[in-house]
Amino acid sequence: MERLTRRQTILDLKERLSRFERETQASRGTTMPTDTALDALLPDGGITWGTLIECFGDDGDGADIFALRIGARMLRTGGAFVVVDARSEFYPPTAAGLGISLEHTVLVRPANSRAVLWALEQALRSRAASVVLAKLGAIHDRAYRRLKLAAESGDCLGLFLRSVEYQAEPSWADVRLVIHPALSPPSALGRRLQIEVLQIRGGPSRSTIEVELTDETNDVRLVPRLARATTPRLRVG
Amino acid sequence: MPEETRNHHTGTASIRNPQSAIRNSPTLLVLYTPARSGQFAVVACSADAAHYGIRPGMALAEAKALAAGIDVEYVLHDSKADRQSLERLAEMCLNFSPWVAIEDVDEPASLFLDISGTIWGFDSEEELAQCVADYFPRLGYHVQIAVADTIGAAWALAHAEKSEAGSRKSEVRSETVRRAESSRPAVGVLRTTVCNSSQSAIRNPQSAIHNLHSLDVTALRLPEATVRLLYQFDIRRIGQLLALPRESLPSRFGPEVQLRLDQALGRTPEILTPIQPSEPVEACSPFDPPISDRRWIEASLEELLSRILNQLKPRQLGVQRLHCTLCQTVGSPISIAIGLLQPSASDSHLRELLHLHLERVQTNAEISEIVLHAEVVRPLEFHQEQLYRDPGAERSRYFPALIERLSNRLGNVAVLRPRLLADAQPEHAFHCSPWVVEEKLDSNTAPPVLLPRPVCLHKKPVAIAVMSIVPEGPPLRFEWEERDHVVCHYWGPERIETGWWRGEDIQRDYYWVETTMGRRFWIFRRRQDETWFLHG
Repeated sequence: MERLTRRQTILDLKERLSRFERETQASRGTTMPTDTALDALLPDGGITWGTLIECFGDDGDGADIFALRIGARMLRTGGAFVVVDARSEFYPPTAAGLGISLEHTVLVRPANSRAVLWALEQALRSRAASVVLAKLGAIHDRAYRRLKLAAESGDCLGLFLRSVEYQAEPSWADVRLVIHPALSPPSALGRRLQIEVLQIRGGPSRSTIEVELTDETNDVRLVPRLARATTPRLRVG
Repeated sequence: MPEETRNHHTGTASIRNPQSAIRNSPTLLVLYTPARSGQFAVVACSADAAHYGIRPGMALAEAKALAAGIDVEYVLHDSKADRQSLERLAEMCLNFSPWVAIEDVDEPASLFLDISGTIWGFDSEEELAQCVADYFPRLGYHVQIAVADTIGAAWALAHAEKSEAGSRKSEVRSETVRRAESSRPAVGVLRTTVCNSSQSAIRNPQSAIHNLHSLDVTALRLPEATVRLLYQFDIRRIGQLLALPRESLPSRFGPEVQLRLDQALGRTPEILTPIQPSEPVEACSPFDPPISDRRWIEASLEELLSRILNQLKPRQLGVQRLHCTLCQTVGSPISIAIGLLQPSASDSHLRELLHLHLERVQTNAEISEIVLHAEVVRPLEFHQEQLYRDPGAERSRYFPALIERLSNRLGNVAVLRPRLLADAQPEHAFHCSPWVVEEKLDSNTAPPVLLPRPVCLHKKPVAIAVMSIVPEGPPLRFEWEERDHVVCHYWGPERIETGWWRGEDIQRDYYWVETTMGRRFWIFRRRQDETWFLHG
């Protein structure tokens, strides 16, 4: 038997793990394309119900608007939008501007972090909510696992906004993205963000894409890359 | 008609808009309602407000102009709340008669009590009527009462004030009632907070029918158009109508005149449906000796809940508000209120909601009695099963359960429903109200314009230090959270000038700024003092 090198063994294991994860996801629920640039990164070309997505970023980085736009896309199929907003800072007119129906929006303002986790679990498990959005601080591994199981049980998408200081912590989220702000050129139609993939279960890891959030269509699209200049090389000598 | 077979009715004219909040307010009140072409019209006003010339029917803007500089409370007229209050009053009137009905019109303001055979505890009908008249001021209402043989006559006499034009000087009417009625000529009696027992009016029951002749035709409950037509022919009194050939009335003035006349005179029967008093749905369990074990308390509650649901299920009713009282041997009883978004008769669901509350209840002593009371019960809603799976509809089915679970554990004020408001000031551009408490909002506001806004807005704008080269110019760099941010792009200004009527004159120039790091912020300059704030 051919002896595998250490690197080959790791790659083989990764491939098998990825296959298992994909099979688990396929058996779990339906996948819905978000029609955004995120679909290109996801293994099934869309978000499977029961997925938890972490978006890391600080104030002004654009993680919140990116997550909200993904949530708005997923809410097209109906269901409630639950925002667990312990700091009472969520601004509903912005959600309404993205086409989210406030008739089915529930603002939950828990008094403490324990109540936040309880409310999150209830909302994710309820089968009433399609999307649950929350700012998440430090969270115990076991509590996070409960949230993951609740999301799977309720076929709900969990969108968690977290500060970049938590990106090294272990997580049960299926998709972990770091949102970096990018300078928008004057010609840009909207805001530009760099999406760094920390982890996508069953998908590629450690890749970065640049997206543009267009205000006119509320779209999240890939920034087209310019082709390399075709100036012929000059040979010297 | 023999005395023992006569049906006497007491017509009680209650106040217009008897909502408790309005009744108990000490300020001048004006009730308004949406009118044509987006305008608002005054529906009723208090007697004090009428002193300033405010009259029902006038435009709200006109009323505001008349009462400029005066502290007047303008309240949106809520006919549904009126009806509910009148229903409560009707239930209270069951103290005087087992047959109480509410006037059968779109916006009722009168109650009818059948007092046949109920005066045995009183010397006369007048004494019974006086008793009713004394009862209402204690609740904060002025009423007009009439005793007559027919419903129509009772109504006519109770509402006769405007039609008689002061001709019946002998009747018991207080000056306060007169002043109040001047603001609402039909039935309005306002300014309830200053009432006393002498301020109700009673009509003489003995001379009811023959007194009808001298009453105005408006006392016949006729449509306004018919009354106008009668006035055109100078027919102002019921007696004048009665003098006309009976067979000519329908062809000349429509069939309703004849019908109302006959009803008032007892020639045609009039049927009103009496209210069905709601039985209290409650169950209690006393303990001797008292208990303290939480498992026993929970088991008792479950048993009480089953008893309540067994009462409701045959009637296809569900619980919408449940109240639980745990009586302690020492100290005050513990009250638990459970609110539901829609009525439910699900044992497991209600039990779960009870447990959510019980988890947080701290008992200081043993429990001597548990009382469970279904405060609000409503008909259950039934939905047909879908043949094909509809994910959206399936999720809506679970929605009430989610709201109820969250509200009962975190409190109603923590589970909110956002609504947009057409207000330029960002902090006031939406309103949040608890999901399980119905709150009526003014639905006539224009749809708000949705402009680019941040996802998170600071509750209070954060003051920042900003450098700007030209006065009133765009920001170039600013300092926030001990870091220096250099502005690379900016969009704006979006000038907002609003809020002066709230006592705070808002004058802001908002800018979206993008820093050299690509971060975006929503900042504004307060134009009054040129200070800058970060808002989102």
